[in-house]
Amino acid sequence: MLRDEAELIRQCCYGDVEARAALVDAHQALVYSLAWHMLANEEEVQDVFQTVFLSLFQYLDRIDPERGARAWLRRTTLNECFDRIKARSRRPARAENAAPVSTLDTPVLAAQKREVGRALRVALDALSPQYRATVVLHYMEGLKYTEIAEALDVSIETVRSRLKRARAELRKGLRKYY
Amino acid sequence: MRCDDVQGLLEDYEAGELNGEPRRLVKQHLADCAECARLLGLLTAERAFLQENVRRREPPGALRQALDEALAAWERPVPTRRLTPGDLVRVAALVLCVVGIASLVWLFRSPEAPEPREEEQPAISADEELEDLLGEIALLTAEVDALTSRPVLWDDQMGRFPRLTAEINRSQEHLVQQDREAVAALTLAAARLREDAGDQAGSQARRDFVLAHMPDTLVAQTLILTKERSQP
Repeated sequence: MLRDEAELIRQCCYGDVEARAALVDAHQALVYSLAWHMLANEEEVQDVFQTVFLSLFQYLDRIDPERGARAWLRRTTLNECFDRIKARSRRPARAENAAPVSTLDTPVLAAQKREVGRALRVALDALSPQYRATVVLHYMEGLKYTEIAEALDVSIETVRSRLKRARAELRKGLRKYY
Repeated sequence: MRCDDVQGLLEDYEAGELNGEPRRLVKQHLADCAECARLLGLLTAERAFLQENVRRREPPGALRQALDEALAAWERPVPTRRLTPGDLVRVAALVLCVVGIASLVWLFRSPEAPEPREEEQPAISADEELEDLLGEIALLTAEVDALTSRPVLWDDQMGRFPRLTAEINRSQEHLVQQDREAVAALTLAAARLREDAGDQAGSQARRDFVLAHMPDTLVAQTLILTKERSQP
């Protein structure tokens, strides 16, 4: 996979349109999901999505093809999210699409899932941006402590401590459903 | 190991971040301690819950389409990448292959066939194209003026049919916005034509227009960046 991506990046640098589309295909879910869980505002998420990918192709020559674009995209998306969170005033989180409701769920189960999903969304939004990023990178991306530490430019101990405290805060917010 | 010590390590153990001797000791304790095993079960369930709710999602199709269009319309020079030794090896191999193939082709070449005569294509006059653009800009600008000069009637009707009037106003604003964007795009195209024809004033007009009307857009920033990079 990394080998293919290295070739894609080289081809993008030579103006290959198909390679560019393939690179976006490979990483669009990462950028969109990361921004969505950080911002919970569709308009801002879409703005981050556009900005990050346009920046990627503007600075692609600075990325080592052998290392791939994932780490760069992850860090850039988070930085964009941090800047927007810092700039905006607190707004209520939109949790309409938070719950992973299945078409096989009964109406009662679907309603329960939506309710819990909404509660989790609010609890996640109540975390500080750095704690939220740690949770999202660990549970959505499945990153190890060392990888999260590199992505956020903090020590492994800081990651461990933030995850522990973030889980405690999330549990507090979701206590009624446990 | 005591339960207090194990419970302090359970989160790292559950996350797969505990290794070596500590991991072995925790695992051994869990085999014999129902309470600690129960706590581990809760942590595992919590992880499953969070992974289910904090998961990847695909962007909407319209968002991806907008990105593709922005990338297609984006003019940028090919960036110069630092050459790595691997790149030099690849280039050398490619040159050798091309020379080899070309040599073989030349050695076994067929008698040359007469080249077909190229038919002359009618030249598109840049002046005519510019004139068409300016005409279209004038029409759209007139339409924008007409739309924004709403009859007083609509304002009078606001009190009687507020929802309908609000809907009409929204549609009108949408049309005005579309026309304004079209005027901006065509004005840029006209300025670019002038620039291509050697009219330096066209180049300056293009930059002035973008900076005045679209300063915060990435298009504006990339146009300026492209211009700066192309200057010696």
